[in-house]
Amino acid sequence: VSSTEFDRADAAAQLLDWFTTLMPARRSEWSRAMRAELHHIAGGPARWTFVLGCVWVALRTCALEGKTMTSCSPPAGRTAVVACGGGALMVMPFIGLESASAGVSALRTIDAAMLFGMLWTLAAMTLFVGIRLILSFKAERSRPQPVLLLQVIVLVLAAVGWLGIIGDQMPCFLGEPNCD
Amino acid sequence: VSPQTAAVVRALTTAPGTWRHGYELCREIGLKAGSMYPILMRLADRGLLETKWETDPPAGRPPRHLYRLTAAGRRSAAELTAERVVAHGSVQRLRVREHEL
Repeated sequence: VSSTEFDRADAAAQLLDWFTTLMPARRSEWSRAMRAELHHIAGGPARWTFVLGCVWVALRTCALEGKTMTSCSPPAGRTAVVACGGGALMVMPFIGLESASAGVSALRTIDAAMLFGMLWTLAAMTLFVGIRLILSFKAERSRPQPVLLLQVIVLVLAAVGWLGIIGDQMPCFLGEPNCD
Repeated sequence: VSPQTAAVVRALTTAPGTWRHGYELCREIGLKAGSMYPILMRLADRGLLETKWETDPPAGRPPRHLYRLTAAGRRSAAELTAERVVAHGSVQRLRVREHEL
């Protein structure tokens, strides 16, 4: 049963495929078992409940049986996907506030696109660098000092920049009149 | 043995020769996949569970992984049941004694 046989358009199956790759090679039969079982489950909620359980199994198995912590660490590409998604989640509440206070039409301006684009970029950068730093510390991976220093600087600048913009724009998000 | 593991073993004991699949067991016992698969893995690691792939899956679907207890697994299940009966008997005796006092 190869993962290519599975329906690629199925988001639940794709998520499960993605996480089961973290499982150690000796557990490959079990990762195949969970992926195959999913294709026999009907109904969205039941499928997603099953997938979330299996994701937990994959992470748990990797953490308990992986050779090193690094084997559970997603590569940079995966971290980037998580960071982009997390960044979007961090910006969404402010988009909601803006549309509630100034109306949906206010979101269609170039200023709004630049503001939320910048917020999303900074949030994604903060998450990406933060996750990579935490993973490398957990894996006790040694890094050259300049690289580590650069990562910390980027993390601090991105986080401070994000918080600064949020602080500056909060009155506008909350609907204060004549706010710029 | 955790109550969840005991429940899985009991479910597999109800029809010892029958091959069962993971989701079917989840639904029968009311366990989530996150608890079920680690238990199945542990039972298989200890030689108490045998596994095989479905030979004739429904059209268009991949074969499922199937499970049943090995002879050692069935012996362990019997021991587990016996322990449970003894424990239940002890509790009953304690209750009777408590009532008499």
